[in-house]
Amino acid sequence: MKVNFTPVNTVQSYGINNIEILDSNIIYTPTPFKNYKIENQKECIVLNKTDTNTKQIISPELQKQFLNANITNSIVIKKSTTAPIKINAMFNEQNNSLVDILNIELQNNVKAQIIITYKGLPAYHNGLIKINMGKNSVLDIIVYSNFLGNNYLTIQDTKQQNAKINYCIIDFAQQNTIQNLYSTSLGENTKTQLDTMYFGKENAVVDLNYNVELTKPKNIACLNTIGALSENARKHYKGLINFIKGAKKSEGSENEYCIMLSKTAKSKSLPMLLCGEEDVTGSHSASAGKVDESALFYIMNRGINKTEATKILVGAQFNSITKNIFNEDIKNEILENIDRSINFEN
Amino acid sequence: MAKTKVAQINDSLYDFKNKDEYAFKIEKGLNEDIVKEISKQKNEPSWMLEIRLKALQIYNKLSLPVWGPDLSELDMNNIATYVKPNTDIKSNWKDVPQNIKQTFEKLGIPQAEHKYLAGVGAQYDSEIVYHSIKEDLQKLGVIYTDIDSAIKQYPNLVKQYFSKCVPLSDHKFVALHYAVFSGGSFVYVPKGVKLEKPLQSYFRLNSPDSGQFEHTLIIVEDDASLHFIEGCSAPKYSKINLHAGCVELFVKDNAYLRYSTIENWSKNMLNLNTKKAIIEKNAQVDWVSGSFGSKISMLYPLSVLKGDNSRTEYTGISFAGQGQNLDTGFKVIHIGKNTSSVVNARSISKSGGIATYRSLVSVLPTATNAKSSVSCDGLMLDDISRSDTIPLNNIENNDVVFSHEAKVGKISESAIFYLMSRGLSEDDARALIVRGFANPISKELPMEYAVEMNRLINLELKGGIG
Repeated sequence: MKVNFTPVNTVQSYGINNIEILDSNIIYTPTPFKNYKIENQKECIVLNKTDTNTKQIISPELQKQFLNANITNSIVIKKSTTAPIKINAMFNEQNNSLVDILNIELQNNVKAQIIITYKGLPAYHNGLIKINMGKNSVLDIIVYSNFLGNNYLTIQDTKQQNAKINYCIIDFAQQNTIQNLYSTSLGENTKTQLDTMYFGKENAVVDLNYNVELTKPKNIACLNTIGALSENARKHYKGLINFIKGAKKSEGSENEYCIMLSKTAKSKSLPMLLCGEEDVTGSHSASAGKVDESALFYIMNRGINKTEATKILVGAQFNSITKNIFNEDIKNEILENIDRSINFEN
Repeated sequence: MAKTKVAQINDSLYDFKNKDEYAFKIEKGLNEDIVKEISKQKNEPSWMLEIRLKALQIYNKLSLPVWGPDLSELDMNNIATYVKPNTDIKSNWKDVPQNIKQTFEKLGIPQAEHKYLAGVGAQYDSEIVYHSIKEDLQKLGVIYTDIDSAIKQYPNLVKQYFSKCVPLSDHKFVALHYAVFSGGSFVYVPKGVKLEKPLQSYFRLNSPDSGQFEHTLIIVEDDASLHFIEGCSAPKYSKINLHAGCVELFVKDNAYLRYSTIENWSKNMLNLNTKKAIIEKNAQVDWVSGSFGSKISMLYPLSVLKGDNSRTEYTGISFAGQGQNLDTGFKVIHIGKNTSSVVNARSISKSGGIATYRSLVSVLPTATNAKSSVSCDGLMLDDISRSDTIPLNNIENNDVVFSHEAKVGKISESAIFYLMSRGLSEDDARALIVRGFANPISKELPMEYAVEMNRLINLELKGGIG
C-alpha cells in the first residue's frame, strides 16, 4: 500500500513521497469494537452520524475502509467544557482492530479540551478525526497512541474567524505510524499549533504528512515535531505551510528535530514553504543527529551510565512539547515510555 | 507603507542580435539521422557516435519530470540542435569574424581576458570560436581547450572521464545533451599546479529556434587549484530556445575548484542545465551561482563528497522577474568520512516571477562525522510573485550534525523603520536592505563580476513610490 502523497511533487527517486508500506495489514471489515468509551459526555452532545469526506487522504485503501468503520461518533460542543472530554480506545484480544470516525464540532465562543487515547495490546487502528471550529472557539486536543501495531491517523480541520486549535499528537505505536493532517482556515486571525512527538523502534516506519493552509489574513501556524529513532526505524517528515494569496500578515513556522539513537536509523525530512503572498513571515528549520556527545559526557561524568544519561537528554528534548501537555497522566506515561525505549545495555 | 519600484533586469547589454548567419544549421527535430549528421559534421571518432546514439535511445525512453515547472512549451521538433558558426576556432581575436568579435567585445570578454583572466573560451551558437590560454600555464601542463579538440588531441584522457560523472541516464535532458552535445571547454590542471587567475568560458546563443548543448569537462589533479568562470547569454526571440548543457567536474585529493556562474539567458530560454562534481579526499569545490535570465530554469548543481574530509560550499542567488519561473537549488551527497557542506541560497521574486528553492542533502551511512548546514531565504517584492522552498534532507547515519533553515517574506518593516530612524529615507532604506540581501553572493565573486552582477540586477532603488 502506498501512503501519504504530498500536494507538492518531488523527485521519485528521493523516496519520501507516496512510500510503500509492505506490512500494512489492512483489515477491511473489522469486528465490532466494544472497548471504546467517551467520558464526560455531559460536556457535549454525542451523535451517531459522521462525515467521512476528506480533502487529503493517506491512501485510497484506508479511505475505503472508513465505509466499514466499527466506531462512528460525532461530538457537538455547545458550551465551554469544565473538564476534558476523554475518549479511550483500549485494545485487547477481543477488540484488536479499530476503524473509527470522530467528528468534532465546536460552536462559536466555546473552549474545550479533548483527550483521545489508543492503548493496550497489539492491534490495528485506522482513525479519522474531523474538526470544525466555530468563531472564537478554542480547542486543546491530545491524541495519544501507545500500542504495538499499525497506527493510521487522518486529521482534518477547518477554522472560522478567531478560532484556535492546539494539537498534541503523541505516538509510541511500535510498528508503522502514518499520520496525515490537513488544516485550513475559513476566517481571519486563526491559529493552528501542532506539536508532534514520536518514538520509532525496531523496523517501524514513521510517516508524517502535514499540510497547513493559511488562506485568510492573520492566520498563524506553528508546527513543532520532535522524535527519536532507534534500531532500524525510519522516519519521513513532510510538512507544508502554504501561504495562499490574500493571507496577509500571516505567520507560519515549522521546526523538526530528529534524535537518531542508532547508526542504522534513517531520517528524511521535507519541510516545505509555499508562498503566494508577499506580506507574510514564513520560516522552517530541520535538524537531525545523535544525542549531543558533550552533554552526554558531562552527565556521565557525574556517575550516570550512558543509558540513563541518554534518557535524560531525550526527555529534555521532548520536554519542549511535554511541558504543554495539560494531562499529568499522559506526561508521566511519555516519560515511562522513553525510559522503556532506551536501553544501550542489550 | 509605500513600495520601492524595482526595475526589471536590464537586458540591453545582452539583448542584441546578429544576423542569423552560419556555416551549417541542422534541420529542426531530433532523430538518429540528425545525431549522426552532427557527429559527421564534427568528424568525431566512432566511440563518441556510439555514446550519442545510446543517449538518444535513453532520451526516447525517459519521460519528462513530473515535478517542477511546466515544460510543455518545449517541442524538440521546433529546435535546431546544431548551428555551426561561420568560422573555425581561433586563438587570436583579430582572426575572429567581425560580427562575432563585436558580440564578445560588447559582452566585455576580450577586455576581461586582458585584465584578469588566465584563459578564455568563447562559444557562439554550437561551436567554440575563440580559445586561448597564457603561455606559462601551457608550459606547466595546463590544458584549456574546446571539447572537440580535446576529443581528438587527448582521446584517452577524455575517454577516461567523459560521462563518468554525469551518466547518460541521469535524466531526460542529460540524455538529450549527450545525443546532440557540441562545444564546451576541457580543462586539465596537472598535479600541484595552482592557477592564480581564473579561466572563463562564455557561451552565446545567437541563432533563433535553436539549442545550445555545450559540455564542460574539468579535471583538477591532486594538490592543484582552479577558479573557473562560466557566463552565458542570448538575445530574446519570440520562440522557445533551449539550453541543456552539462558540466562534469573531477576534483582530486587536496585539490580546490571554485566554479562561478553568471547566467543571463534571454526570457525565451528554457535552461535545463546539469552540473555535477565528484570531490575526492581533502578536496573542496565551491559553487557561486547567479541565475537571472531564462523563462524557465531547472538547475541544481550536485556535489558528491566522495573522499574523506572533502568539503563543498554553495552560494547562490536567483532573481525571478516577470514571466520567469526559476526552479533552482543545490544537491549534495555525503559519502566520505568527516565531510562538510555549507549552503547559502537567496532568491528574489517580483512582477509575477516564481522563485523555487529545491534541494537535496543526503548523508549516506558511510559518511560518519558529517556536517551540513543549509540556509535559504526568499524575498518577495510584491504580492503577485511566488517564493517556494522545497528542501529534502536524507540522513542515513546518526554521527552527523545537520541543520536546515529557511525564511520567506517581504522586506522587514521594522528594519526599514530602524534605518529610517537613523536618517535614511524609506527608499534608501529599502535599497540598502535589498543590496544587503544579495551581498553574500556578490562578495564571493571577483570584483569585476560582482560589479557585473549588480549591474545585471540593476536594482533601480531610486525611490519610485509604487
